[in-house]
Amino acid sequence: MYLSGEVDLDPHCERSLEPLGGNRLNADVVVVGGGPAGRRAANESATAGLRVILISRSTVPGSFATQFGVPLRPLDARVTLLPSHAAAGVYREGHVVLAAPIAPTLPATLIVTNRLILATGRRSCPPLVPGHDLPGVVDAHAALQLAAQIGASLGPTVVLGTGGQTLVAQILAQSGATVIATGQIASLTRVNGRNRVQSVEFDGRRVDCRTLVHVGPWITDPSLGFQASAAGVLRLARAAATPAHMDVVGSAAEGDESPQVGELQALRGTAVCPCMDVTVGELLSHIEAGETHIEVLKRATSCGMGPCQGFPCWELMRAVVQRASGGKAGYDRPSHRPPRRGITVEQAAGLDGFLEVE
Amino acid sequence: MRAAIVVIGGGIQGLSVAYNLAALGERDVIVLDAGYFQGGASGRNGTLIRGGFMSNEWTGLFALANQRWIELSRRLGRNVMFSARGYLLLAEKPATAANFDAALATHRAHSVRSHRATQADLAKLAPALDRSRVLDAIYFRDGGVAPHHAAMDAYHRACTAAGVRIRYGSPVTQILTRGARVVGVVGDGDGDGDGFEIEADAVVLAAGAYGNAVAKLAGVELPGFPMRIEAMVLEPTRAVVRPAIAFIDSLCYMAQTARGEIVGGAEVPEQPTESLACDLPVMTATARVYRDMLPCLAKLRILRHWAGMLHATPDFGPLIGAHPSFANLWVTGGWSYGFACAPAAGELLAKAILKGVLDPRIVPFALDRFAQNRPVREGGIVLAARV
Ligand SMILES: Cc1cc2nc3c(=O)[nH]c(=O)nc-3n(C[C@H](O)[C@H](O)[C@H](O)COP(=O)(O)OP(=O)(O)OC[C@H]3O[C@@H](n4cnc5c(N)ncnc54)[C@H](O)[C@@H]3O)c2cc1C
Repeated sequence: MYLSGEVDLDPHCERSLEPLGGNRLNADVVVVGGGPAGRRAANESATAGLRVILISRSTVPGSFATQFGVPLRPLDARVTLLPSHAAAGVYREGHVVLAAPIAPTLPATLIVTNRLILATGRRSCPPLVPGHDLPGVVDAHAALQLAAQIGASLGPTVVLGTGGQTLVAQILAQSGATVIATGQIASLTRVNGRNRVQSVEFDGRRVDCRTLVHVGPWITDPSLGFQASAAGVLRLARAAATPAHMDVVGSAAEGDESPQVGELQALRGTAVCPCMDVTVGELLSHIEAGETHIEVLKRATSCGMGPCQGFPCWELMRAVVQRASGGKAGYDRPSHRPPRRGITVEQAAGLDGFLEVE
Repeated sequence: MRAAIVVIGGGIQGLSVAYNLAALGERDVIVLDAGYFQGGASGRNGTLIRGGFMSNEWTGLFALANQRWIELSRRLGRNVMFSARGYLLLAEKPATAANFDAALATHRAHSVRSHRATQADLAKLAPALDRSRVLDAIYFRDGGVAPHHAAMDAYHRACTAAGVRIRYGSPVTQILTRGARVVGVVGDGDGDGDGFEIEADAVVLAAGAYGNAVAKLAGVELPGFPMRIEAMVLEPTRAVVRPAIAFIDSLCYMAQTARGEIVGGAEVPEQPTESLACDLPVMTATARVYRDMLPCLAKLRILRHWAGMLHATPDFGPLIGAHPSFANLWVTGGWSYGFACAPAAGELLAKAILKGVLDPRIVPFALDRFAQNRPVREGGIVLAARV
């Protein structure tokens, strides 16, 4: 689905005359994530007299919490804020952070820091049931944002979750969305539709709708933590302990809920990684032939090698492997590799020479 | 347990030796690998293949390798997806360009199909290239790329079909010796408890970056040290660069895969490190070369960036042949272009082991060449190390 042709290029284009350049900052503490936990951590460090940089994907940090009605304390004026930036990767045990502006036309920033605090929150994992990759299936974050912009155009909406669905349904309704049902995501058995969602089956019934919002199971994005703590020469694997100079705070520290996975044999035709067209059946064919090593399965199928670079696809892949091997396969993940599509060649080139080679 | 031949290392070098041993009639072969299938450099490389270099020695060996790649799918019975999309070697500095005439003559002597690419040729071959920076260019029409997952899978299946036993997750922890011979290996079951001891008539050391560590198990050393190399891949785009390209002076190489991604990497002279964690300077240096040399790539996003480990020798050339201390401890190591060369190295080493014939193309890469003060000088490779 996602292969050559995704981006069109004119091979004859000229080099831009103005190089984009880049920024380098030094910090005592870098906080990733501008929600309640990230703000608290940043403010505490600033109060302690430390140089703090807060990286937030939103223009106004904490937008998700705000949508949920969680009051946000103001950010200490001494905190340097990098809004509309994503931490695209961390290097050197977390002492170097690559902050990529969401806008590809702006220069990227490299930060050298003593401490790293991850307050990256959690995200809702798509349910692995037939039809989960149809347009119209959206996670809670995206649904709240969409509803704030287009409200009623979401059409009849079903909200399923692991507990937060009632609250999300209320907020969506306030934004003008038409929520017609809520329920437990664990009761979801399939999503029907041709080119987009037409109905969902849950709780033993079938409900016609145009949008399905999933509110959990909640999982953390393991990528930055992995990059800061992974070690090894035969394989990069998460070191036993996170380094002393790194902290994970807020809901990101709360651990993962189990992904919602239906009966495997009934899922053979269902995509685990929609971008690279990897189905449950393809994974099972390798597992049934005796291969359960997660890195080997990644290389054999290209699962997670598209734009998401493994989050959330690898969470679904490892759940399938775990289930199919009867729990025998280790519940680990392939190596999370930066910068996960976060930065362009021009932006990366702009940082060249900014960091001493080791 | 016993086997005629134990191969330590199941990367492309180990698998190619094992396949060629079986093809020559020796099927009693066990391949033992400490990690997982494709976990070494053989599953982390740029997949570039060419037949010609600057030196006579490298060209002799790689000319055979390139020829073998062309027929490899048919030999192995499975598609290695070799794509002869061509390979450009570019000089940006006069000192590099000055060697190109001699290089072309060397290629001719080994029947490598190469020619000088003029500015007009470059405009056709690689319209995306900023030609104003290119002083001189050599084009290899039979060069190209082969996705490593396809090549590794084909070797693995061909080995298994020929009766070769292959075990991953099985690190060798001891090499047993008696006098001037190795007699077997001992290893771990990597956590699952099945340790093993295997008697063998000969042992092949094909452990990639860990060659030295494994040689020490027999109480001997190999010249060189482990070194980290990194590469990155850009998001897929329509076909914009057909041939693979090596920028010798910018220390960078790249190619576009069949699915549209751009794979490549620059070399940044760093201290030898033993780590699979990638570092920022390689990504930024690669990006700078792309932006300067292939401006249309500037707006593409970088999907991911990773590292692999090599065994770098003092002249960056491979080590092929018997170990000077043990007549039946065979080595294929020290590889920096060991993906491209695997079909040739495996074939010639298998002949040496089974028939006792040392092909003249591997003789210059003997393990004792540094002790004999006969390093192989090669100026056409993209490598840099601060040693
Ligand atoms: C980023 C990068 C880009 C590259 N680009 C190219 C390119 O474009 N073209 C090219 O030709 N080459 C390229 N190379 C080099 C090429 O990948 C290597 O030279 C080649 O893969 C070496 O193969 P190998 O089998 O010797 O080593 P490996 O594939 O590393 O295999 C060695 C194996 O030995 C095993 N091992 C180690 N210790 C033990 C033990 N004690 N017991 C048992 N097993 C053990 C390891 O687990 C490993 O699987 C590149 C390399 C890298 C890292």
